[in-house]
Amino acid sequence: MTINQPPRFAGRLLQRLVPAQDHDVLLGDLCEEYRRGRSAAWYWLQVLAAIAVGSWKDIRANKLVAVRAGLVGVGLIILSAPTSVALQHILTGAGFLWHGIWIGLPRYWRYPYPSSYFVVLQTCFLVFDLCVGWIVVRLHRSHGLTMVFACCGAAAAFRVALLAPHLQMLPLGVLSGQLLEWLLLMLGGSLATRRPEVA
Amino acid sequence: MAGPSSLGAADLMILLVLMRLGDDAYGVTIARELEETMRRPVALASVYATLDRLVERGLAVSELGEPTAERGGRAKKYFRITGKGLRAVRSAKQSLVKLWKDLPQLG
Repeated sequence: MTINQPPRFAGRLLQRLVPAQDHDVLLGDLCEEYRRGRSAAWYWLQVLAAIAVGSWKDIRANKLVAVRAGLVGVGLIILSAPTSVALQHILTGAGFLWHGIWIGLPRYWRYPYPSSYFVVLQTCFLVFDLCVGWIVVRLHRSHGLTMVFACCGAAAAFRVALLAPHLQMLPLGVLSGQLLEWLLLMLGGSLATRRPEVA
Repeated sequence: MAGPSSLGAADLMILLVLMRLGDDAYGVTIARELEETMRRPVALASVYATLDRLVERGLAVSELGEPTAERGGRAKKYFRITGKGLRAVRSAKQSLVKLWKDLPQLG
């Protein structure tokens, strides 16, 4: 007779993303319910709820650490903007500024398509967001992805404050940009989380 | 810290469920009882968040059971209401009954 095994990855994900708490009892309850006929979708929803609730509890219990993570994240995002632009100039062959003098790069260095300018800039932003998420988790590794959620909140507050005068004109653009940034921060952060020990 | 009389709706419901279930109160049975009462799905994690808060406030106590194969070798955590919790429930009931009285629209 085969025993109905619950989705193992979901449990590992919970332990990996919110490692500051012990999820053993909760996972036991989920396993019991799953074997009594609950669906895999139900199991996954319960795990996602546990990630949200666990992260919120961790942030509330470590407010100062969460504030620090938010400040570090926003600081890195602010730093990444001029760095992205500088990198874009170099990668597209436009040149770079050296002690107030613009140094143009040789023509052969230039990427041949005009749209490359935009593509390179966006790629730089994407890579930097991934790196920011990764760095925030590495600095607060015992909290897993929790502190990236704090960073996401701080990044959203910063973005709203920065774009407050234009919010009425660009609500969709701001929202989609923010959602993409959150996604990348979380993706970068999850790459830096520790693998849970297999029981 | 909030006093025993300041119970939220979730705290009160879970304390009542603990009283109803007696010795068989653990995550699954508590969540089931809540689902049957409220007729909507309940997240086990939020049940545990409330239970942990009640334990921290001394309104409930918890005890680990034996690990079982049915639960993938994991133990159950049983919860029980304390005397302080019982007093808090009684106090909440008195306050609610007082507010309920003389409101014909609520039957």
